[in-house]
Amino acid sequence: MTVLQGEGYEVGYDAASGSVHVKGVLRLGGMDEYLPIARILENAIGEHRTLTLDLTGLDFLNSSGIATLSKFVITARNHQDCNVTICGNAAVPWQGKSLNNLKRLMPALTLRFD
Amino acid sequence: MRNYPITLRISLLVAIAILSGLAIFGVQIWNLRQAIYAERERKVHDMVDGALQLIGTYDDEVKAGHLTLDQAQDTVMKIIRSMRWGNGEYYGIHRFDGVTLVTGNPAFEGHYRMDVKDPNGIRYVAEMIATAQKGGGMVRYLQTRGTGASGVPLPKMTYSAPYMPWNWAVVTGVYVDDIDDTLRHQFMWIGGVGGLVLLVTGLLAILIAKSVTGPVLGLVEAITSIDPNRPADWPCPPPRRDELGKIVSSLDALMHAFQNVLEQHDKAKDENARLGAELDVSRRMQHMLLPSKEELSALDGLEIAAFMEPASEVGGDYYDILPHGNGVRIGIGDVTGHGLESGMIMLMTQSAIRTLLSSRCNSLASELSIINTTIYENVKRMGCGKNLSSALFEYKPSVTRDSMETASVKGCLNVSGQHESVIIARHDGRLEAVDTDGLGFPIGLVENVADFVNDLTLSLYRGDVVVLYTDGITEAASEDGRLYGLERLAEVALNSRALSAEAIKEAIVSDVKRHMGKAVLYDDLTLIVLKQL
Repeated sequence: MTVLQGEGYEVGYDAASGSVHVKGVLRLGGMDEYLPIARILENAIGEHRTLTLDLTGLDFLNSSGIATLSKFVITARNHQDCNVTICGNAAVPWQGKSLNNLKRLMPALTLRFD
Repeated sequence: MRNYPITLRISLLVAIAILSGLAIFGVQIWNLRQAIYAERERKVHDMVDGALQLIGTYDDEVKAGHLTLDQAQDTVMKIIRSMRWGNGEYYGIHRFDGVTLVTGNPAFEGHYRMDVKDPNGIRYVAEMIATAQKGGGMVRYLQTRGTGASGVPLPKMTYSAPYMPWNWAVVTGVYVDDIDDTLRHQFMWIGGVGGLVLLVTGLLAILIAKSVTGPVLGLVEAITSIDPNRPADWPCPPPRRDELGKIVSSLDALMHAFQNVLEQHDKAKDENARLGAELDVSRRMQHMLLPSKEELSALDGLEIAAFMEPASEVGGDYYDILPHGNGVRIGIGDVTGHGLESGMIMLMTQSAIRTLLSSRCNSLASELSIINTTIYENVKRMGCGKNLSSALFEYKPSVTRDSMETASVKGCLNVSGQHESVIIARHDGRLEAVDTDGLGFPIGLVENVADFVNDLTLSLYRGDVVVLYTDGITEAASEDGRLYGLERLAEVALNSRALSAEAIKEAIVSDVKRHMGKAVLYDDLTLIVLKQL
């Protein structure tokens, strides 16, 4: 389990189960600051082809974060045999609309709202 | 004591040291004098004792019957007369009746000399005899050394002791003028050396004292001349290794720390000012391009009222109302984040929308797609990851040739773009919230949104009210954190649909403000009310 911790957030990659979880509040300033997280996601999808992204604990994600996620989904979409599942929390305000948009970017994306 | 200058105190110290030295010196000289005199006294005393011993020995012979008294006395007198000691000192023997038997000057021997006086009037022979008769003691008088009247009378110290059986006073004396000479000599010698030592010590003391007071006073000078605005520029004294040096280096570090703090403070102030200026610029940008009331009122058949209130941290809301030819192009959007970058993106969007308006582009959806690519490329350059939710509307009054349709469509509103739900308060009291989720995609997020943009046409009848807004309205929080909400917005619109667009707008705005109370506004409020006439 590789864990990246920052001020108020945590990103964990569990290689065994092929899942990445993001918890807390992410308000990094700009795409560059999201690079480490982007790399974790790319790494995960590179190794696994199947990836579960658990965002149920992510209470807030700013625009640069959503942009990072979108880029990741586009990359995943462009790798033919990728299988991505995103778990979201319907109670968290930003997640409804933004995660739906992600599904538009990659129709094969599985979206699960708990 | 602590109020007196340091230099004064150090000088006092040095003065005390020197005075002590002088005092000790003086005492030593005095002791020396006393010692010398005591020594002399002892000496003459011992010499007289010696003579007495001699007399005693001869007296024993008389007592033993070996000599007659006269024989003994004559022999003793002869011996003692010839005795000399020290520096030519001689003995004297004076009979208690006043006749001098033995003395240095043979001319005086055998004479009655009780009344002989020294230059001071002291009857010294009488004194010697009297002293001897009392048991012995010192007699001091002046006497001219040597013979003749050419000499100077000098002080003499004489011891006179009795030989009672023969009624003799045995005396010997010594000049003491040399004592003072010796003393003077010593005085000069010690004085010279001592003075030299004191001088050197004094100089050294002054030098050392100066080596302390000098830098201390220098430090005082340096500290009192610190410029509070530039503490690090203080005239730092040169480094040294003593305690003062430690003070100086600590102070210097402190001054630099102060300077740092001042500079941070200034930087923070500057940063604050800059941010304030940025905010100002952003806000002005927002307002510079807003449509005027005149523009809004120049429309037939459609009443338009618009409201925008920026939050303290300008949120980058955008709206534009562009009457053109036979219709009105309306745009509304909400740039993510806030600040100068958001303001710039808003500007870009406004320009792009205006530009496309003049083009022959037929569909709102394709216009949005083009706008998206433009914004996307610019945002990529800016590297800020921002994007905006945006919806485009095109209103065209309906061209009804058939006047037989009573409940006729008066206007068509074409919508494209993913934004907040469009609220329609129909004239007959029906409420509609048109979901725009499937009509578009966030603008500037991905390169190509052609697959996601669609448009939708709404028919408007006389009296229908359309409310367009940004999430600043629906997410306006009250003091206790409750959000205003879509339901409440729709309700107010519905309840006031009979009023003019302007009045409806006012009703909504005052209701939002009422809901917020004293709570701080965190996101721009943007509201557009359309009323079909």
